[in-house]
Amino acid sequence: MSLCINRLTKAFDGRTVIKDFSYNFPACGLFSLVGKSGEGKTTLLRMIASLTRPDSGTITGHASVSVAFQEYRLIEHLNAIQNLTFVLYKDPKANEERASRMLADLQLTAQEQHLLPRQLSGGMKQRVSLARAFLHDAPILLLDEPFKELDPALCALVLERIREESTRRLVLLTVHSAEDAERYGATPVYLS
Amino acid sequence: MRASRKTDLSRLRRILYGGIAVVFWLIVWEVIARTVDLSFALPGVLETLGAFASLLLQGTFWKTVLLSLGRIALGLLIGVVVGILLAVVSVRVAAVDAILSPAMVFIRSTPVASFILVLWVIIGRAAVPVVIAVLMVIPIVYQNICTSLQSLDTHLSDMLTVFHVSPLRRFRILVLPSMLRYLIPAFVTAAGLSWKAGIAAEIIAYTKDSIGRSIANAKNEFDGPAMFAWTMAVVLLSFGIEKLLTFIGRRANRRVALYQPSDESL
Repeated sequence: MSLCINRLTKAFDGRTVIKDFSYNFPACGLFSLVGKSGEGKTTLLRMIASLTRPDSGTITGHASVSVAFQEYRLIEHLNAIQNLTFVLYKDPKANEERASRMLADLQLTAQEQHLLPRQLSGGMKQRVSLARAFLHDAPILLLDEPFKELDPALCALVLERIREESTRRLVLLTVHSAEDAERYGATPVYLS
Repeated sequence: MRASRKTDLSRLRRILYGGIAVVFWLIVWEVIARTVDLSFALPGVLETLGAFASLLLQGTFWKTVLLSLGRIALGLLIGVVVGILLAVVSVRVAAVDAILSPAMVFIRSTPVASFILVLWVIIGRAAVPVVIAVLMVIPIVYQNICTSLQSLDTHLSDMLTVFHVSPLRRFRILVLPSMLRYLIPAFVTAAGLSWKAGIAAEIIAYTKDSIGRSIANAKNEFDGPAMFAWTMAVVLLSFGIEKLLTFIGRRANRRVALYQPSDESL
């Protein structure tokens, strides 16, 4: 099922951030929402995730999405593994190994996987947030600035994973420039 | 090693200063009592301690204390439950909040004695301390639970929505820790307040088998040492309750901080 956005408009306090935006995304593939800060990239992701209502226009084909938020949004009293299992699964215990494997793939050691968010660095928190999004089996994967806190080696690792995900579902990520989109091998989508 | 010795020394110093303060105020009390020289109005320290010791030896003392504690604890419990329920409804329904908010301000600002006198006429003397404790607790719990629910992390709430987390699990991992963080200190404050107000209600309403009635009796019989001994019991119990609840609260807070929901209950 493809994601169809039709003449979407959204304003905050009289300032229009997205105006008459339309785009038809296929069921899978890697796309970059290109725009400077404040140009509505995160707002568009929030509308696709049904967290913000558009002022006008329609979105179809977005019943279930997975999101890696810009601010990670981890639960402070749960460790890294539990942040995945308690959010994603009805039976957290039975899925611990699966979550642990995903975190290990993103270079978090067994010891780091049992730390609380406040004990993790920014890059580690970002990887936990990405792991949670990768594990959630929704047809659309939304990644808001997924490389913000990662060093070049981890960027390459995460990019490889994102490309792999884009072969079986639609992946939208936010970037600041067309060069970034090209570097990630993503189809650029301009908001303005 | 040096740090722990420093901590021990500062703890010792605190205990020493506390002891000196108690002795200082006991001396002040004794000096004033000797100056006034009216035992029925202000007995001396030793006289009061003697009366207190003889109270402890009476079987009725413990029965009276337990009955007063039970009445006020019942009021406290009812107040906590009602306060939480009202706050939950109030946060969800704006009209309920609009109706309840002035009522809470009214309860908080009306003198306790006025409530006691009105309730005494309406519901009779036996239930007055319980209802007064309820009234003291509700506004505190209501306000704190409203604040806890209004200050829930919207970012986390959005995240849980995106990942379709069930309402029960959402409550356990998002709402409950926030509620407990506010409820525990509110409970300690409310317990202290309801204890004092409850005893005042017992004195004014002359409730049967109560600490308040014993204080009132001692006053009516001009038995200053007994009145002070009963008051001393109230103060010591209040101190004990506060310490106990603070200890429990601290442990509960630590549990909230380390809170990890069990698999079965989610």
